Amino acid sequence: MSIEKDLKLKLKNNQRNIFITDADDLLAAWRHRRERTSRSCRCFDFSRVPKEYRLSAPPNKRAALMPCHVSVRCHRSQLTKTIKPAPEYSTNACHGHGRTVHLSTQDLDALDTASFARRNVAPYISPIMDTVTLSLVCKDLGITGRAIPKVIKGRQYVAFSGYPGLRARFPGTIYSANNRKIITMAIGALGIKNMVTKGGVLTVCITVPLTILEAFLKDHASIYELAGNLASDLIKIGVSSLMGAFAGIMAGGVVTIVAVPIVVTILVGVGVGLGLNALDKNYHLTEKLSADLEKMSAQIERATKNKIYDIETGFYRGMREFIRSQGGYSGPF
Amino acid sequence: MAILVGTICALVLIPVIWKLIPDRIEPTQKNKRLGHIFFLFIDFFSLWLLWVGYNEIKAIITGIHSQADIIRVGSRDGFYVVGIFMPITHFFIMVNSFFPVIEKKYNRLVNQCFIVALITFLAIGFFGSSCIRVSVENAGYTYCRKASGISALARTLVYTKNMALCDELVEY
Repeated sequence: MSIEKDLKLKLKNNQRNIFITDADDLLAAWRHRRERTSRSCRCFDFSRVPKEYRLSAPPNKRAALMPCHVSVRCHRSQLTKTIKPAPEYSTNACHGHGRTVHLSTQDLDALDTASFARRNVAPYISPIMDTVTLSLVCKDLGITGRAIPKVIKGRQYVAFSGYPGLRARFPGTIYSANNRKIITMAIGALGIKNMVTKGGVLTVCITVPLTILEAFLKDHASIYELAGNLASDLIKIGVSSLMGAFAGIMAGGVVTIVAVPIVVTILVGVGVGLGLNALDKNYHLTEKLSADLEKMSAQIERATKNKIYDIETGFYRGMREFIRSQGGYSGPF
Repeated sequence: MAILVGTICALVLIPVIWKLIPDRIEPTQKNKRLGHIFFLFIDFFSLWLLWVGYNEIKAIITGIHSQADIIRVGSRDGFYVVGIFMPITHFFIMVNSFFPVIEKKYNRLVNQCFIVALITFLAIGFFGSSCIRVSVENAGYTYCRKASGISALARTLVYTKNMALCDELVEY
């Protein structure tokens, strides 16, 4: 087993102390040290090792690398590293840093949490919710369960095929198209629209606060970038939801199988979202939008400034004329 | 400025178009024909999407092999596989509408294939995106958070060879 794998395994098994007495081992440890962002660091030479970890690194490239002990402790999800000289060497052997240094890794900060949620939750929430609805429908009606739309005395109904006794959610044979159960389970055009609306609203509710939060926490974000991204996200969500719903309803007009419109809605929603992303990436639309917003803001600012200046000048001129007309003071204005 | 006007128009038009989508649709012959024509467009769009996805992944692999300084990875690159599944779904719909006898005969097989295809799509979508990121990280690249965008929905993750490059990218 390689040192890296061994180290990983030991970390996984929460072994309290791991002693490393070789330069390569030390490098391996650095490669697998946990960053603040919880990603493995890929440091292949000492120059790239952050300063706080250079305690046992050689002072220059020509100096021989001295073996040190690195102990890694996992305690209540906190990773503590101790770098100290190996006992078989003198205390000065470890490049003069003969003291034990505790390096505690920081907890996930707010930016990391927002970043994680943004990366792993926001884009997938709508497809996941739709898939849950699909699985519920398939569980009750079967993958080829059919819902045949019928119009009786001008009112629209949905009739199910199969044995009603075998169904848990739909024990009846015919339901009104406006029935709450039918709409919740995304059956029929109204159901599809309801499902897409719910998914879209939830995505907006998660996406917008996360984007704003991240923009506030980030050092290099501007208000124009934030506005551009928000507008771009809203359009992407809106267009993909529209296309998904339209495709789902069209699928409902072609086949009577209940699962097909839901599947089509999910696939088209995801596909259109990806297509819009690709267009955005290729033509830099969001960046251009942010630049346009910035330009427009500068223009408005300039125009407003001029207007204020005009108002001020007009006021002073009026005052001067008024005072002159009174035949008295002819001072600075 | 045209993009700004377009964005405002789109934000206003989306709710209006949403209201125009019908609340009910019946499986008449006319609707079925319209549906198939619509799905043909979707098929072409899916194939284009597949092509885009292929180019994206090819660019990432080429970047890794040529040890490029910066690699840009989409957060949902794995989902480009949807380009295969949309035509498959259309094929399933066509079999269902034009050859109901075949559908009844091979009902069980078709069902199983459909379920397997759907699960595969979701699995490839979720894990494929992660696999691409992991392969870039394994190639020695570091995630440059500062240079990555702030959009929550669709992000382009920027990976650089080292942090100095990342800082340069932010300054630029």
